[in-house]
Amino acid sequence: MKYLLPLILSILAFLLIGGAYAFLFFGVNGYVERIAVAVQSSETLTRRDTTARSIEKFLKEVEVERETLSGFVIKNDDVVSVIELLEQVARDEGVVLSISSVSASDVSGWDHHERIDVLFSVSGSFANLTDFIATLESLPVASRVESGGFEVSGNANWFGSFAVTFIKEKL
Amino acid sequence: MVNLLPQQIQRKLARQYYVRLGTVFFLLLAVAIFIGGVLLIPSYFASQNSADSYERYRDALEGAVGLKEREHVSDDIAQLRERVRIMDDYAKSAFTVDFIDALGDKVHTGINVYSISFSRNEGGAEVAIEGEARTRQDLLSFVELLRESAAFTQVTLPVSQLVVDINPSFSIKMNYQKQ
Repeated sequence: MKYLLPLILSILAFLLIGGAYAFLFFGVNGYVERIAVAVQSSETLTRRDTTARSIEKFLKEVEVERETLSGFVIKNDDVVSVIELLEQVARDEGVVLSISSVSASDVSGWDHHERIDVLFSVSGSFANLTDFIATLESLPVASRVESGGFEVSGNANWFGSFAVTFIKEKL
Repeated sequence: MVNLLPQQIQRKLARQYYVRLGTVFFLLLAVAIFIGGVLLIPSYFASQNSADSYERYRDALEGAVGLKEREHVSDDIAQLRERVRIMDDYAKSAFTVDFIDALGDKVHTGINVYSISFSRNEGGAEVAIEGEARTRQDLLSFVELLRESAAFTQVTLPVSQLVVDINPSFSIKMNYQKQ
C-alpha cells in the first residue's frame, strides 16, 4: 500500500487547491453580481432623478394653470363651502332649496380625487329653477348635474329634485 | 523481445505504472489550478473593492437629498393628469342648460308640460316629459318637431295617447344628444 501514498497525497493536494480555487472563483462571481445589481440600481435612480427633474421643471412651468385648475376642485376640508355655495345660488336665483344628502364616493379610475354627491330639491318658478340649474353648471367649482326632474306643483310653481356631483381632492 | 519476468511481477509493475501516472496527472492538475488561483487573487480583491465602492455610490445616491425631495413629483404629475382628465370630462358633459333650451324651443302654445325628468348618459341624457296637449294635432306636431330636431333621438310616444282628440295627456320618452 505504500506505493499508493503519493497518489493519495496528490489527490488531496488537488482537492485542497481545487477548493481554494472554487472559493476564489465563486467569490469573484458573487462580487461581480453585486456590482451588476449596484450599477443597475444606480442607473435606475439616476434615470428616475432625471425624469423627476424634468417633471419638476414642467410642474413649475404650469404652476399658474395648476392653481387655476385646483380652484375647480373642492379642498379636503372645505366641503361645507359647497353647501354654502348652493345655498347662496338658491338665494340669488330666488328658489327654495332643501339639501337632502351630501356624500363622498370613490370613482373607478380616480386615485387622487373623490366625488361629492349632493341630492337636493328646489321649488320656485320654472324660470328661476332653470336659472338655478344653469348657474349650477357654471359655478367656480367643477360641478355636473347627473339627473333631475321638474314638475308643476301648483300656482305656477315648480318643484325640482336633482343629483349634482362635485370633485374633491383625496388625501 | 521476450519478457522473462513472472506474470505476478509484470502485473505489479503495470499497477505501479498507472499509480505513478495518476499521481503525475493529479499533481499537474493541482499545479495548474494553483497557478490559476494565484492569478485569480488580484481579481478577487479588485472585484471586492469595486463591489463595495459601487454599493457605497448607490447608497449615497439613495440618500441624496434632491432625490428624496423630488419623490413627490410623480404623485403630483399623476394628480394633475387625473385632474385634467376629470375636468375635461365634466366640461364636455354639462348639458342641462342646452337641453332645457332645446326642449323649450319645441314646446309651442298648444302644449302644456307638467313634468320633465332626465338622467345623464353617454353624450347626453335620457329624458321623459309629461303634459297635456290642446288637441291631438298639437301633440302630433310637437312630437314631429322633436323628431325633426337633431338634439332629440328615439322620440317615443305611446299610440294609446293619440286616442283622445281634445286635451290628450302625453308621456314622451326620448334621448337628448348634446350638440
